Amino acid sequence: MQTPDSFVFPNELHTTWTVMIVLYPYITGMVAGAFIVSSFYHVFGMEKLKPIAKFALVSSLAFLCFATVPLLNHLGRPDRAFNIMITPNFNSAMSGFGFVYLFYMTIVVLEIWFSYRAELIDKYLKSKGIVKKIYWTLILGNTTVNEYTKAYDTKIVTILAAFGIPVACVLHGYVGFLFGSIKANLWWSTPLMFIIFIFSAIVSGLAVLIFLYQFVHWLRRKPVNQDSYELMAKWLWGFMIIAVVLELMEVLSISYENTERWEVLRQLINGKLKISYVYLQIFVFSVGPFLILSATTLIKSIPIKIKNTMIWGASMMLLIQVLLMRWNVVIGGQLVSKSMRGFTEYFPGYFDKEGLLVSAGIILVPFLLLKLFDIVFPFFERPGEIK
Amino acid sequence: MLSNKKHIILVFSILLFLLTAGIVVRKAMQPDSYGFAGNYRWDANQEIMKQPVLNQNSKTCSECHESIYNLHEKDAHYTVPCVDCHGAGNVHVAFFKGDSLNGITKQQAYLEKEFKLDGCLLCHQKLVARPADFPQIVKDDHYKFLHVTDPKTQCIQCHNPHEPIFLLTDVKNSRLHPIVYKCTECHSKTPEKSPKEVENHPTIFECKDCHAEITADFNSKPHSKYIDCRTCHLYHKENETTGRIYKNGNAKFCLLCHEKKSFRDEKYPPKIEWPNHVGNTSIISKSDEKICLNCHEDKIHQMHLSKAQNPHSVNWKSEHKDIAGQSKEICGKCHTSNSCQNCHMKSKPSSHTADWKKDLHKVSGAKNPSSCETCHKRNSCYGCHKLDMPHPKDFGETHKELIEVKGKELCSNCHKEDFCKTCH
Repeated sequence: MQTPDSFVFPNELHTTWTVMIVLYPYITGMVAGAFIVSSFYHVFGMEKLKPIAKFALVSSLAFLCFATVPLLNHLGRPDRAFNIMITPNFNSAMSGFGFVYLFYMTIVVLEIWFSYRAELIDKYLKSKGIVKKIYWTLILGNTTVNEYTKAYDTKIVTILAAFGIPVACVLHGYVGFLFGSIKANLWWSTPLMFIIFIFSAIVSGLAVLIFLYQFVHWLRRKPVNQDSYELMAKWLWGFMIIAVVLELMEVLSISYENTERWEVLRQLINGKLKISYVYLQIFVFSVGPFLILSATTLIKSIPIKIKNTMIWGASMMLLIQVLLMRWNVVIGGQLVSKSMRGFTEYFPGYFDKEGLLVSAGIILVPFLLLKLFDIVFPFFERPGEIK
Repeated sequence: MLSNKKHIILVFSILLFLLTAGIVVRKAMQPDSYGFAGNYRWDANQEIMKQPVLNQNSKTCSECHESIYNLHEKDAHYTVPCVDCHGAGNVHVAFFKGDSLNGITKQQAYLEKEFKLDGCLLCHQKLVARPADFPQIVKDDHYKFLHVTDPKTQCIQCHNPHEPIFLLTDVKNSRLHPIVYKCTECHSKTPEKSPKEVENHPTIFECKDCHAEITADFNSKPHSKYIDCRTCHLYHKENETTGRIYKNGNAKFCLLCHEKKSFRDEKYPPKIEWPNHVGNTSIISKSDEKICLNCHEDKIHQMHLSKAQNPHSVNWKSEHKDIAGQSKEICGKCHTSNSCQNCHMKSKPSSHTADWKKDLHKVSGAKNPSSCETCHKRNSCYGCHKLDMPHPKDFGETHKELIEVKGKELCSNCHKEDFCKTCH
């Protein structure tokens, strides 16, 4: 039985939005963040990021495929998922996400298709049997590839990437909007919410790319592209500063306004969220990576191996920081009673339908899918391949 | 060259096709009545309304099970319909009303009794979300308190679901009593200080405030170490100011704790074998519901002290009108502002007899118009009289215009036909 502190309304005892709703913005954030990083190369022409551009794009798709899985698990009856398309309710903020998600998925799939078309045709020509048929389906039966087609493909990829940036921002900004627009929730209701979500999405996108880039190269025992790696670390440093400062400024703003909601939010921050928000999210996983990335960016004399390990460690810490931020927003907001006089408790359970084991599974599956995607859409050059 | 753009045209054509197909599929699959009155299928309402009613009304059950129904109606579970514990009962009723020809077997018609532990705990499991005054238990604590040794013991081994608290009188006619609060109804834990020690704390009455003598007597008796007043005198809150209090002098209520049963600790609390305990002596009538109190009064409290310290006299109900009429502030010292309405809105005051509407109310209304406003809205006279009542002081001068507009018939509602001739 949950034991609330002080006074809560009966319908607040059960935390309705569980850890699944924590994972939903977390995974969606990585989708949007990874896509924006890929667009740095495709749209803004940052050549240094070329080695990870395709990887970022395919990662975005892998996470995108699982962005709605936590929601389906939370709501139950996944067979009804497509009813949102058959019986659309344009007044529903949540169904709005469904349409943005579909549009964004179309852009990502198209961009990947145009990016990999030449390679898919090459594989089609070299393969046999059923694999050949699969590749034939993937290239839609068209095997024309020459300098002109490649030029057209590059052009379309650039246009799609340019379109994709605002859509990615809308995708994740929309998730922030879903929370920020709930005016009855003291901890969520702020127009800053969607801006904070966009910046934290870019941070998580960059962090997951750095983490995986180093990890994959470590597995393959190959050095990373140092220029690309360090540039990503610098971007990560910059975006994490903006994201964390925005989060803290929002709290500062509420505290300085000192309206009635601060009375209870102050207790929330100093009580239920003291460990997960103050100690872990801010002190350990925000200040920590900030100091590490400041050192790797500003101190030139650090040996490359140590520097790369530091960056990798910081990226991992920032991945945890963003997860903690999602937890503190989603769960934290529900721990406060609308009465402004009490708090409830929440623990997801270990083996529950929406427990920690299932959560870990949902986070891990996109990484496994990414491994499968690597077979069809190879994102790093392999030994023996022509550059 | 077009051949170099062929794949681009192809992929966007597929996209266009999918979009068009999506729109067509949506159009085809969308139910006809969807969107008629919102984002749902309107026909679903009609389909649900056409479904046969399965749940049987408690009155239907009473046709065959009258004695159980009467017992159930008398006690605290009277608000719980039969179907809540016994299931829908449609097959059962159909069979016993002679529908056996429809292929219903006696076995199918048998009604399960859901009086298992889990069934009772569905309502009576202690939950913070339940109203604090609702009877609810933590099973282990409850068994520990009653020294129940077998954890598999079912509720019905002590409690009768049709008569859960063995009331002496009908629950609906039990005494109305001002609100009785327990600290834990507002506080999550029992506070260290009493309400009187806390500055600006709302007034909370304890039993001893009105029943000092009987409470003092009870506190000197062995029962006071283990139970409090509300353990026997169960209080059921009906609204924010009043509720009903039950006496529970029934022997069966005492036996809830003191009857010897195989699943209970033999020694404690003291137990008896029922009905052997009273033996065959002819002095004691076993049908006397208060049989326990007759001998063991000294272990509880002296029964005759019950109203000794009540701040209101025995005839208070009929007498309070005069004091309340003088100043409601007197009542407000102890009662909340809407306490009066809680009685007066439910039952008519004793003064409102059959002649009240016809003759008597105008005397009382003219004497103290504000007394009507305890229950009635200020303009409620207008509903019958079609003008403000009682007549304003200048009515003698102003009534001419009113009669011109509304006619003489208006006067005849209250006055005799020749009343006008009294002056004119």
